[in-house]
Amino acid sequence: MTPTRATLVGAGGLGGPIAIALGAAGIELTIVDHDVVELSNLHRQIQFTDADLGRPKAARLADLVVARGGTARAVTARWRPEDEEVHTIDSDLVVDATDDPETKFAVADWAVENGRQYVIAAALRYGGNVMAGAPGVACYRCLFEEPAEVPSCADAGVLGPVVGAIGGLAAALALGLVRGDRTFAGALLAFDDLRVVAEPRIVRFAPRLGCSACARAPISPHVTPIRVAKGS
Amino acid sequence: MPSIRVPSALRSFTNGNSDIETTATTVRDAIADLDRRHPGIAARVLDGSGAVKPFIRIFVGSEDIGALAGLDTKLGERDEVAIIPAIAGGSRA
Repeated sequence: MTPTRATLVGAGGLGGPIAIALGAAGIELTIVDHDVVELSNLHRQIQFTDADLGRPKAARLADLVVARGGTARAVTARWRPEDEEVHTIDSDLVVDATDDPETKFAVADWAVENGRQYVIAAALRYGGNVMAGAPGVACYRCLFEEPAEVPSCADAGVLGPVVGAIGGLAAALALGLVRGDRTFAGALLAFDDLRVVAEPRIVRFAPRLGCSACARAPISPHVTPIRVAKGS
Repeated sequence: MPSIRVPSALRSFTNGNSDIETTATTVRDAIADLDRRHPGIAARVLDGSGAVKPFIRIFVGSEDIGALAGLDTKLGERDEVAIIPAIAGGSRA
């Protein structure tokens, strides 16, 4: 059986637990991140230590996955849709773990337009949200429409363990998707404050008419398949 | 009485309070009520024309108001209005 391949965009606080979980599950990973490890990262990016300071995050995280018996390669660059032929085209699944709204939309759009499953994860302060996407359901752009100036961890801060929890959930949803479980496909799981409530608000949303990503999708969420009876 | 769940990103407007009760009977009135008591918050949720900003979704319970009656969605006694903004925390990749 051919192993599932996934591209993970972002090797920080969210990307760490995602990479380790997916790698341990036998998924072949491409990890994309342009950044290097900084001292200020260590409280929430617990896959790294002092010894990693100044080293590329993608390479260091790929090393950790491999050391645990997994398969991973690193790309030390920003993920850009125009580079997808190199980084992502062979992937069955794409996971976004960045703090950049533009990248989140670009990853989701690419996945939608190429008929791939995807997970978009974000954590901020005490909470976060995770969206699972798959062909034929409402997409990330249906949900939030366009990138905006929103607070990032660098601006607003984040509690270290919250990032690990959201990353763990993103990994669980990703694993569900690759084994064919579409329970949460097209849903957003939102945690408002993990210090208080560990149960997510699970919200489902309809495809948005006029969504520019869905318009280019091989399977439109706006079209209900016509069933043709055998023999007709 | 209906309540509004304020996301953590907007709690600086509500002195840190996450749940605000309201006597409003529609989502639109609930946001106006919230803004009367916590000035400035509506401008973070609605655009200049009064529509919900594109990177924010509003739910009544688990239902997206876009699939209901939008901002005119009526609120029941036990309804909770949740404002869910896009967030971007993660790694600078």
